[in-house]
Amino acid sequence: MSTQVVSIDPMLCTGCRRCADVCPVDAIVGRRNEPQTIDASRCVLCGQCVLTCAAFMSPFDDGAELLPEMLRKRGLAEDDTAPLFAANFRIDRKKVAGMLADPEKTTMVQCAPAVRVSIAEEFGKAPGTLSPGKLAASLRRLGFDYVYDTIFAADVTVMEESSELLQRMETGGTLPMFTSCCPGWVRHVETAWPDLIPHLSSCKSPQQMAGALFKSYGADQVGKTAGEIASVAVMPCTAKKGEAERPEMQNDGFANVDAVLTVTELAAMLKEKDIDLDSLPEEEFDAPLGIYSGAGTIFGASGGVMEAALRTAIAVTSGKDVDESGVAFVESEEEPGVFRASVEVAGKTVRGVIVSGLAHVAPVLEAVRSGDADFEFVEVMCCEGGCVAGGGQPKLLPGVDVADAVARRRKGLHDHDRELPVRAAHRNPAVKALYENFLQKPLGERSHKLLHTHYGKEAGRHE
Amino acid sequence: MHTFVLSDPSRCIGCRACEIACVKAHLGDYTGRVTRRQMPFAPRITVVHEAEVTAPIQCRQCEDAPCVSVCPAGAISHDGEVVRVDESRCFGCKACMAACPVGAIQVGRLPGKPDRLLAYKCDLCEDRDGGPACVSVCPANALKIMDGGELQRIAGGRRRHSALQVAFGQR
Amino acid sequence: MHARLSPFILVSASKCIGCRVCELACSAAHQRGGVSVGSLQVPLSPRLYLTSVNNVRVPIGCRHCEDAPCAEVCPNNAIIHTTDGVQVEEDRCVGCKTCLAVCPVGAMEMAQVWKRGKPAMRRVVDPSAPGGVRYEPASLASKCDLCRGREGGPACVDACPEKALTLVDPIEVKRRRNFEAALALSRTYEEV
Repeated sequence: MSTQVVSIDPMLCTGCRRCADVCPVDAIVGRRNEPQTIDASRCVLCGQCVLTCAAFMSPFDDGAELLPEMLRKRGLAEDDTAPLFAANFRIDRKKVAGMLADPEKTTMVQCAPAVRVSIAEEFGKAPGTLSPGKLAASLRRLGFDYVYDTIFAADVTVMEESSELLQRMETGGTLPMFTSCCPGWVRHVETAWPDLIPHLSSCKSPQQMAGALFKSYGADQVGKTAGEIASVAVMPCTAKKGEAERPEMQNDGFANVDAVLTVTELAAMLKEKDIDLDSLPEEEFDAPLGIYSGAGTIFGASGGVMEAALRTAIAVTSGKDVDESGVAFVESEEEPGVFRASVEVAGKTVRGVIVSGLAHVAPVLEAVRSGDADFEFVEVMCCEGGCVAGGGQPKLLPGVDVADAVARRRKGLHDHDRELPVRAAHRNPAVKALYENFLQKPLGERSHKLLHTHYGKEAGRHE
Repeated sequence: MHTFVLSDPSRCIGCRACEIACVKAHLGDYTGRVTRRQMPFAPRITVVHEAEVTAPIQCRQCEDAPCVSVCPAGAISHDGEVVRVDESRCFGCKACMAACPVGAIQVGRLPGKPDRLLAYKCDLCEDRDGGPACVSVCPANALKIMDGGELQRIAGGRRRHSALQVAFGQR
Repeated sequence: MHARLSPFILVSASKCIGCRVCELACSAAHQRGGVSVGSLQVPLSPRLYLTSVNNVRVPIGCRHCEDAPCAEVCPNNAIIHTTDGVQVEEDRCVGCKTCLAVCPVGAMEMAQVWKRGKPAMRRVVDPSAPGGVRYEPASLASKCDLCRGREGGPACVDACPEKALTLVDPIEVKRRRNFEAALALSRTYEEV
């Protein structure tokens, strides 16, 4: 049984290579009309191939009688009616079902921002339909003990990462600094640009920070030990499954995140239990780790991490609270997918770059490598448009305008940001409480231990 | 999908051996003489013998059989390989005869049950060693067993043939 | 020549890359759902079929034959010639499978289809079920219906990323080829 996060089933692959056309790192190899394989040394697990692949097992295919065995191999029930495609990601539903059924485990679940603007699509709604309340309710119906939110941790990431950026700028640390919340991007740096690893922020991603906090701060809050917590994440992303398994993503021997489900896996689990998302009431996420700001919310859209960081950086250094940074990032014709702007922070000029889509990052990295970088901070999202376009999102049918769907999902996140009472990470009362009562300060000792890590092939155990 | 037996009119010679074999295969415990009253001739297959065509016709074991839907006693059901008449429930109303588009089900007296008028039809000779008696006996190979796999093979083979034609026709 | 010949969908073997987007689009176009694969309510069931043989891999579907054997053989008049080609009237289909057995192209399959506004179901004997019966989907005749009723016409033609599928109107094709042949001839004669 394959345990690769993303793989291509040779029984179903027809060798059309549409997946190879969308792979941002040219990791799919094979001749036309023959089954393709994924080069693991290049693959960043982004799952765009999975979204594109249309080669499914038809009930009229020769060999359709092998279907029950194929379902079993993929970790699905033998009577599951979901279609099987050649390019696929590893299903972790059984693992999570086991955790939910285990009376010894207290289950804590987190959802990425992008999940709340796409899960409704699996239930027939239009792309980008915002449904955080029903999302929270559905997770409770599934049996999770604590329904928390990745966005809380995104707010914490803003605190840690903006502090880290300012520190690097003040102490002559490695600049420009790259965001590290996208594991596809991190993996790309590690495999294709390893000399630039020091530029990556030492922050864990919000998913990993959330998991680390679940098993420490979160466990304390509910009177449990780290070992009693089962930490689950629902993501729009396939690379997050790989990220959770990285050996350094643990504390005191306990993995920060025990299992990652994609939006499509969550939808399937709900349908299996006859839970209809649309008919659920609106519920809140649990406190304190489910309280979030609009800044963390927009992490799911390309440019959102940058905007969130700027809101806090500007407010903290100028003493002036802002709902929005007001900084407009501009794309030039010479550099599609790359957006630039500069802003005054603490009397310094901070020049930011946003890269939307791994296919557009090479020229920016070339500039860094050759010492010509004229910027201090770079946000890179592997999937063009941001996490809302991730490999774990609902697989759009032929004829559906993908760019339009992604744009609607982004809009859903921005609309949600604008309607929230707290729009900057540092003003999130639960985040303030976290620092006051537990972490003390950003980049402090506890933060360093739980929320930061080392990236690179030789990433060791982080005590 | 249900298995069924299908005839090829171009091969049928109209000998009716299939009807006789069918009756013989469904005698059950009956060992008495063949008379009108005691052993009615009740084949579940009927040879059409007309100027225009000669061919045996029997039940197609429909996937959404109208005889199942129409039976007021719920006596006919999809059961495993066949569409089956539960004789204990049938009271001979003939609604199934009116519903069957092929004319494959009929109401009459069956061997050993002289006092009942029951619906009967092809049951694929489920209890017979060697399967359908009509197929075994036909001297012209006019009857063929179509199980689900057979149908898939036929359709798939024809599609492959079509694919080659399309590809080579466009060279 | 007959005044009206039914169009049908034909693949260009040289353009087809075997990606199966056509089958996915066809399946989605014939059932209820939203924008995603996960929103579709019943299993995928295409009405054209990617077929592999030797080095050839192309989708094969109904030719909407003028003298369709399926329509001839159907015992319940469920397959009829219409202005939109040869259509299976699902409400009349009993699933006798004879059309599948006779189609020379291999275009007919038995599949889960909608009947009277919902998936066709049948009652089945099951000793382990309550009351000894349960209901399961019934397989009825299923083939290309030229996406009758769909705005924009055949979904597969729309969806094919290589534009390998076309809705062939045989009379139009004949007219165009007649014209081009005549033109070609007229050019040679000019030179004489």
